[in-house]
Amino acid sequence: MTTEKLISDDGIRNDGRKLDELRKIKFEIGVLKNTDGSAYVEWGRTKILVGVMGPRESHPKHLAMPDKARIDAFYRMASFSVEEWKSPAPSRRETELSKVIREALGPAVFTEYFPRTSIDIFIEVLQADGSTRCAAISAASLALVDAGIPMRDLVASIAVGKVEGQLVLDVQDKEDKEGESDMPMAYMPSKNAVTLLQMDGQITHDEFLRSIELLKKGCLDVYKMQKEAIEAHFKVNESNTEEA
Amino acid sequence: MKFEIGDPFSDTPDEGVMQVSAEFVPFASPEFEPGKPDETAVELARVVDRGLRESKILDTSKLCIVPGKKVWICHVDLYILDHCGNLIDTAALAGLCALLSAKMPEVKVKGEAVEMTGKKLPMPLSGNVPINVTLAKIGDKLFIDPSFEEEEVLDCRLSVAFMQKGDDEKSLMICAMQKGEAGYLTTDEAVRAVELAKLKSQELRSLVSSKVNING
Amino acid sequence: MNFEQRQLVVPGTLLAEGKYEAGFNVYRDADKYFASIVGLADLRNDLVSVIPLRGCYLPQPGDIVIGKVIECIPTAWMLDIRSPYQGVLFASEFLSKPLNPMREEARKYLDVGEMVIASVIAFDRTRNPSLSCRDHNLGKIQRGTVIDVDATRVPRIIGKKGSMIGMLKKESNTQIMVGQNGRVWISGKTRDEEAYVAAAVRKIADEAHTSGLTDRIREYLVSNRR
Repeated sequence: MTTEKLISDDGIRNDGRKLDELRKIKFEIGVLKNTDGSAYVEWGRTKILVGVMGPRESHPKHLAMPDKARIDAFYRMASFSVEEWKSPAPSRRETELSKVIREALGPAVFTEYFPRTSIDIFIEVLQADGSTRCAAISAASLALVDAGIPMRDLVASIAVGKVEGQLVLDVQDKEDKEGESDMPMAYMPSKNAVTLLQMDGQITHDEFLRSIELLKKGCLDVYKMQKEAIEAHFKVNESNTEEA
Repeated sequence: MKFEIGDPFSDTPDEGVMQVSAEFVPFASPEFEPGKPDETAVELARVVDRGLRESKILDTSKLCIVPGKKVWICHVDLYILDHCGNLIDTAALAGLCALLSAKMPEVKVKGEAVEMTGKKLPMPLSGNVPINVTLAKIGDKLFIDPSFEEEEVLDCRLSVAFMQKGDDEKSLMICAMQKGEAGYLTTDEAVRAVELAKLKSQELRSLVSSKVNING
Repeated sequence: MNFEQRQLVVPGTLLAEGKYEAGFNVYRDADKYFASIVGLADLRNDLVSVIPLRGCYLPQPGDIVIGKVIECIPTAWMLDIRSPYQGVLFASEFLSKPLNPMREEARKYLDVGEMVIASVIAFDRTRNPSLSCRDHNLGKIQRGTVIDVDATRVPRIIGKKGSMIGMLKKESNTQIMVGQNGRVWISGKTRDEEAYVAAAVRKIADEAHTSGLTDRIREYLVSNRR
C-alpha cells in the first residue's frame, strides 16, 4: 500500500482539487455520423463516447413492448481503457453497469410515445479514471437529447467518496481504489428524482446524509454544464421571425 | 460454500479470494431460462458480494497459503430454487449464514507442496456482520420485503446493507447500497429508506445471531 | 411564463407556471409546464410549445412521405420512411388492378431500393402506418434526385404558406416534392440543376432558424444558376 496521502492538511486532494471540487468536464454533442444521437465526454482523464440508435423497430421483435419503447444500455470498456489490458469479453461488472445505467436513464424518457420500438444506448469507455458510470450517464442523456427523444429532464450524475475519513466529490480512480468508499448517484433535478444510487465501502449513517447533500450539489454542477453544452451546440444566431 | 486452492490476483498477491455467483434454476420461476446467468443473476451476485466484501467480514489476508503463489478461493454459490420475491435479502442472508457456519480445510506447506491434513478449521471472520434490507417503492409508499407479485409492479427498490462494527448501535455502518429497477426515489425517500433499513437490519441481525455464532 | 419567445430550451426546462395549455413537446406536472425536447420555446395565446431542433418523424394521416422499399412481401411492400415505424404499402393501394400473389410477384411492380411518393392513410402506433399511392402526383419515382434532411426542418423548407418552396421552384425551374418525413425529391432538366437545388435545400435545413433566410437562398440560387 502507498504511504502517500490523498488529502493534504489544508484540504487539497492529490490532483490539486478542493474536497467538493469537480474535475474539468468537457461535453461535446453530435460527434458521430451513423447514430441518431451522440455525445462525447472528457471528465478529467476519463473519456467516454456514447451513441444512441432509435427509436427504431425492435430487434428481436419478440422483445418489443406493446405500450412503450424498450430502452437498452450497453456499457463497454475498451480493452485499452485501463492500465492493464482488459479482455474484450463482457465482464460481470459491465453487465451490472449496463443494467443500472439503463435504469438510471429510463425514468427520464417518455417511452410511452414510441410503443413497439427500441432505443439503444451504446457506451464505449475509451479511457477510465474513475466515475465512469457517472460520466457515461451524464453523456448519454446528452446523446438522447441529440437524438430528439422526448425526456422529462436531463439526468446528471456524480460520485462522492470517503477518503482518509473525509467526504470528497467526484471520485477519481486513485481515490476509488485507495479510499474507504464510493457512492455514485444519478439525479433529475427538476423532479428531485434519484435514478441511480449505489455505494460500496463503509460509511456511517451521518456520512450517508451528508453524502446525499454533496451529491445533490455535484449533480447540479454537472446539470449546469450539460445545459451549457446543449446551448453551445444548438445556439442559433438570431431568432427567426418569419418562421411558419 | 466450497474451497479451492488457486492463484491470487496480481494486485493482491497475499490475499485469498471470495467469489460470489448466482444460479437461477429454471424451475424457480417461469421467467428464468436455462443458460448463462443473465443480468438479473449477475446483479444479484454482485450485490450480495458487495455486502460481504465491503463489510470485511472475511479476513482474506488469512486465506493466503504461499504468498504470491497459492491462496484459498472461497466460492459462495447462490442457487435460487423457488422464486417468491425479495431475492436480494434472501440470498444475502443465505450467503452470510453459509459464510458464518463454514469450516475450511487445514493445509500444511512442505517445500513446494501443499498437503491437506484432513482437519477442518474455523473461518477467519471478523464480527462485522452485514445485513441487507431491501425497500421497495410503489407510488409514494416504501415497504420492506417485497413479494413476487409486488416486485412485478414496483417502481424501484433500494437495497442497503448495514454492518455492526462494535457492540452498540452507534457502530452501525452502511457497507453497500444498490438502487434497482426502472423508477426513481426522491432524495427524501432515499433518506427514509436508509433509516428503515437500519431499523430492520437490527431485527434480522438478532435472528441470525440466534441461529449461528456471529462472532467468528 | 419563464422564457423569452424563441429561447433555446432543453428537456426539463421549466417554461411556465399557472394557467396555460401544453402544446407540442411540452409536458405538464401539476401546474408546471416543462420542455421535453431541445428546441425553441414558443407561446401563442395560452399555448406553450417547443419548436423541435431534433426529433424523428412520426407519421400522421394525410402526410405526404417519400419511402424506400426495403422488403417485398406477397401482397405488399415495406417502406423505410425514416421513422421508428416502417410504412406498409398494400398492392391494392399501389396498383390499379388486383395482384394475385400465386401468379405474379410484387417485386415485378416495385423492387427493393426503389422509391415512392405516398400519403399516410392510417397510423395509431399499435400498427405500422399504412400508405397509399392512389392520388394525383403519388407513385413510383422514375427520375430526379432524392435527398434526406432532418424532418424537423420540413416546415422551414416549405415556408409560410409555401413561400420558400414556391420561391425554390420559381427560381430554379425544377419540380420539387417535400415529404413530411424529411425526404425531398427534386427533378430538373439536368443533374447539375438538381444538385444545386439540393444544396440550397440543405442550406435551408442547416440555417433553418436564422432570419433573412428566404433572401439568402434566393441569392444563392441566382448566383448558381447558369
